[in-house]
Amino acid sequence: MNNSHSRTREQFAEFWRRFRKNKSAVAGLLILVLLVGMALFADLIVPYARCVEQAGADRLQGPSAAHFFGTDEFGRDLFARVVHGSRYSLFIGVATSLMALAAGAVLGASAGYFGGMVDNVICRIVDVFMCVPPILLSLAVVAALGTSVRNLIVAITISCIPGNVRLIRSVVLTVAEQDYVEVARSYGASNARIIFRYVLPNAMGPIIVNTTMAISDMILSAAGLSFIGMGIQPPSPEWGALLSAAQTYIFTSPYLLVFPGLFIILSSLSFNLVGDGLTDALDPKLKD
Amino acid sequence: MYKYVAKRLLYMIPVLLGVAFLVFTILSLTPGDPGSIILGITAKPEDIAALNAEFGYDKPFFIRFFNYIGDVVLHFDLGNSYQSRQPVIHDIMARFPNTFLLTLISMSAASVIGISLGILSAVRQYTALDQTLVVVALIFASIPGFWLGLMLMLLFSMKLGILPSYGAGSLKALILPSITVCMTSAAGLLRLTRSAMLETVRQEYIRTARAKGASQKRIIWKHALRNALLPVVTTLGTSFGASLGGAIIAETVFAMPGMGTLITTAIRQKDIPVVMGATLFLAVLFSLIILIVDVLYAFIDPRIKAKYQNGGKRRE
Amino acid sequence: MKKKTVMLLAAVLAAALVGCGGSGGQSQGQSGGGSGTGEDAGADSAGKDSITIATDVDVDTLHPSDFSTTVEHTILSQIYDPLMFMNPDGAHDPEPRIAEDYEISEDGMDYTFKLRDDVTFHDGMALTSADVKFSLELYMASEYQGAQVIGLESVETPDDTTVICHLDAPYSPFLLGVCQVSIASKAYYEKSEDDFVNQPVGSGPYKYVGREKGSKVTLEAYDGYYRGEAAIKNVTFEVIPDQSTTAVALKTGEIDFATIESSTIAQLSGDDAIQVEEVGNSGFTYVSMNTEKAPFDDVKVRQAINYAVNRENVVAVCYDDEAEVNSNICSKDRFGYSEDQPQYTYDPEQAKKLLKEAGITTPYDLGTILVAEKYSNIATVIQNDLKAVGLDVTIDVKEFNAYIDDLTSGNYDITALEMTLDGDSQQLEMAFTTDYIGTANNARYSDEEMDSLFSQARTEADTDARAEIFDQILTKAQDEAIYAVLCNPLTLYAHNSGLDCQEFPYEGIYSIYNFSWK
Repeated sequence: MNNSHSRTREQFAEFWRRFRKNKSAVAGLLILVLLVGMALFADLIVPYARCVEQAGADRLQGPSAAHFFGTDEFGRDLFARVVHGSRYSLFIGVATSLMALAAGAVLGASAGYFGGMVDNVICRIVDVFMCVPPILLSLAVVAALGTSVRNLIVAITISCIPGNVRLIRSVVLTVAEQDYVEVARSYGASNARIIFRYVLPNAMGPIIVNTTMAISDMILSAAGLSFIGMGIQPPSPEWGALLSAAQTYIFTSPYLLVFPGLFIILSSLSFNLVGDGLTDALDPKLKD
Repeated sequence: MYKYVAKRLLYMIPVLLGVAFLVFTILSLTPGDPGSIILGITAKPEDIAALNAEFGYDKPFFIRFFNYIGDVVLHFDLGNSYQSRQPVIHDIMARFPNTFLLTLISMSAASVIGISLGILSAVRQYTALDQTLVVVALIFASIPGFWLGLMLMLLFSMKLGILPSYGAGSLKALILPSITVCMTSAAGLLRLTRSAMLETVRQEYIRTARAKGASQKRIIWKHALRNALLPVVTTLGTSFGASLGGAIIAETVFAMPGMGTLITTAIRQKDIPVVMGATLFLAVLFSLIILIVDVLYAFIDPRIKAKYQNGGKRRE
Repeated sequence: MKKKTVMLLAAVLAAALVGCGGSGGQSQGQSGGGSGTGEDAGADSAGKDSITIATDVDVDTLHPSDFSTTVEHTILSQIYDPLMFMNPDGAHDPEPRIAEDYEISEDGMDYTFKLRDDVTFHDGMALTSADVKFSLELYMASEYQGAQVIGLESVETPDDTTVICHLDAPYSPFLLGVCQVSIASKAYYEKSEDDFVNQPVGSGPYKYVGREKGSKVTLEAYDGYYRGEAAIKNVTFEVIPDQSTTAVALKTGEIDFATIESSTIAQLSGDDAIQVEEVGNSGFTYVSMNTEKAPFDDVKVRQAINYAVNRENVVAVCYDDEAEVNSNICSKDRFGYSEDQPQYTYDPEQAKKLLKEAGITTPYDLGTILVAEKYSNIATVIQNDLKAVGLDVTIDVKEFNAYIDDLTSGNYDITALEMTLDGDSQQLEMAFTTDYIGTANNARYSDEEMDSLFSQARTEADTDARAEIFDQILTKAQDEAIYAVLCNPLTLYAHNSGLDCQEFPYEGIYSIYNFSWK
């Protein structure tokens, strides 16, 4: 018992050491911590009331001392809306990517590893879903399950899973032919163990990249679904929604776009850099 | 190999039927009917019912579905749009060339830029160049499409006046929308190529750890590239397919009539023949693209080719 | 190397398809008027006999009677002429077009039109009463525009230049409706129904040249037009869905005329080369409350809501000041409106007082305000105003078709939307009478007196007496606060300052015949 504890702690220390060596990964982690902090402590930074407080006379004003990021078309403080928006957007971004990753990993790995009929069936079902326009899938979710934040996540995830499955399958296809997999099988390891212990970890790179790259896409798709009533209802702030609303004012009030956009970019940046760092640090093959 | 391709072509049939059924079902389950949507809220119920009857919309679900499939398969007739009463195929033929050209140009550009820069980035991992490329790629991937499009329009159409701000009548008009669509894919491909290459490089590097010098390195990179191609080609394929029906933002901002806006508008209007026709059309294309991608796998990696020839099963 | 193979494949494919892509750009149907790209059009308009107009959607059809959108209506009205032209504000006399003169019988059941004898269709054929009869019957049978000829029972054509419309009962708004009918060619229809729809032939100032599906429609001035050939020879309608793109295209000169939204004005201001026109129309923005559900069945609550809403703020925030504040469902330029009819002003104190009288203790949960996405702006402002008087609502945005479904079936508490009930003021009955519960009577209001007032207005021939009836109707509507009407948004056009557009008719369907380059 003591042994396994200290071994885990040792492994973690090793992992942390390797992660720390990667400067950009650390920078990414820092930004991520700040963003998550902003989301968690939003109420302390600025009260929620300021997000919804309208002042028609002050609408569409640029950044100033009173309004750090300016005001929107209703006269609401953009800074407050960006800060509180982080809660919804980060949650949606992370939840959808993780769910799409999990589903994609299971299906994609099975398809790539087992081959044959399993591969065929999974691929054909994935093909069907990829051909259906995503908006229809979301409408179906609305019709079947109703509109709520949870269903919003379901809807976005469903449109992402097919792409993920295909990608993971393609990576698994190569990895599955590697010698160490053969070796593991000769030891009598079960298929599931082989997939999770040997195949997937060695396929991590592209999978993590795909997942972290997708986060900003997810945040933006959430806004795209608001017109069918999914998820975040006005006046709740959400970065994607802030961005769509700003489209009308792109030339006349560009700051409305710049600030939410900047935060979306920062989130994407931080997740990706951390993801890259994780891949490197966790890579079983990399020993220095 | 031919057996494999033939089998895959056969499998397209259940996929297309599945798509048709799924799309038809969703459209029939969602609220609204074409008559009400066309005539509006102030129309008389009798008029709405009469219009729906003209469309055959009053018949039960399965009868409508089988009639539709029958028309498509036996007569190659995709039906008439509810909105325009004109053949759906006209709408598709008016828009598909634009979409195809746009997708082709942007995907070609994206692959050239993305893949080459991705390789560069992997080769020079951890250098300043690598870090910069990664960050730039991430920024381009997170920029909203409409912003990029409108900024390009502002610069090239308004300030410089050298490119048209909208339309699809000429190749010149396609430049700005292509750049807009290309950027996100290029960024994704860059990151993916880099990551996939690093993955394989690390594997090989360990095995030939105390390498015999430069020549070994070249072999490693050749091998790395070949394996990296698999996920890259996959993503290219899915991006190409998705772009065919998904370049909605570029189509709207640059007023380019394309398949994406055709489908989304038709869904809103419950113009079922148009949605079905356009979706099936794209589905055929998409299935062919996936088939090409899977065939390419065989060329990239002979082990996969062997798998295909064994009926897809693992060698036991 | 394998990578090179993939690249080579892609390059070959690209080359092959760029090669055949050039011809693929054109589409079904003739495309005359040049394959005008955005850049070429700019040069054309500088030659002062063409105009390029941006529309936000493509036309689905150019059938003279079976159309449903404003864009279609606009383009059709350049191609087809009506019997007479009536400005829908009801304040102008009809102007002669195909009909030189008209006469209404004593009992109001017969309308006789005397036609000109020199009107020709674009294919050269003369226009006779048979064509008018044919067109009227087309409208009578149309599910789309049948409402224009309500009351028409039969059409008689005693000779080539006389048309008599027999109504089944006197109906005052008939003249305005029948003046909306596009007169089409019977012979052309009988020759080819397909061409009738796809290659329209009318007798209006512009003839149809061609179109490219999804992107443009081209018209050319008809030299045989009986009022003289139009000043502007070539007209191209181009589809530009995005407003920011429209603004850029106006600035670069690629387009000369466009319908714009209020938020686009800021992008165009300061540019002397572009002029913005504001045109009144009868459309109104309003809050509708389901009077079948509590507490909206209580008139005091409805009045309170009317006082709680800051209409000036709605106009400023949602319409960038491009709307007229109006709490009366009848717009100010429309027949039947009077300054004497009660208006609600912004008075939150009065609202709170009324709520107390109604027995509502604040803060009170009013439920959800149901809206379609395009109206969520309005809902956001209303939510704020209601909160200030102690009424809490949450916003529920729904997909448009689902929204309409809920709206018409009464499955909602309170909502906000824009509506147009254009035509004669008689159309307002759709908002207030029992027959229209389930279609446009969103408040689900039912009252015998209201129903009977509208019946009277339908048949009353004397204008003054009719105005008096509408006065009663609208006063009652205001007293009972059936709806909380907010404003009448203006129709906005932006055009090249070098274009002289003269005056735009009420409701905004313009005639390019009246345009000219300065």
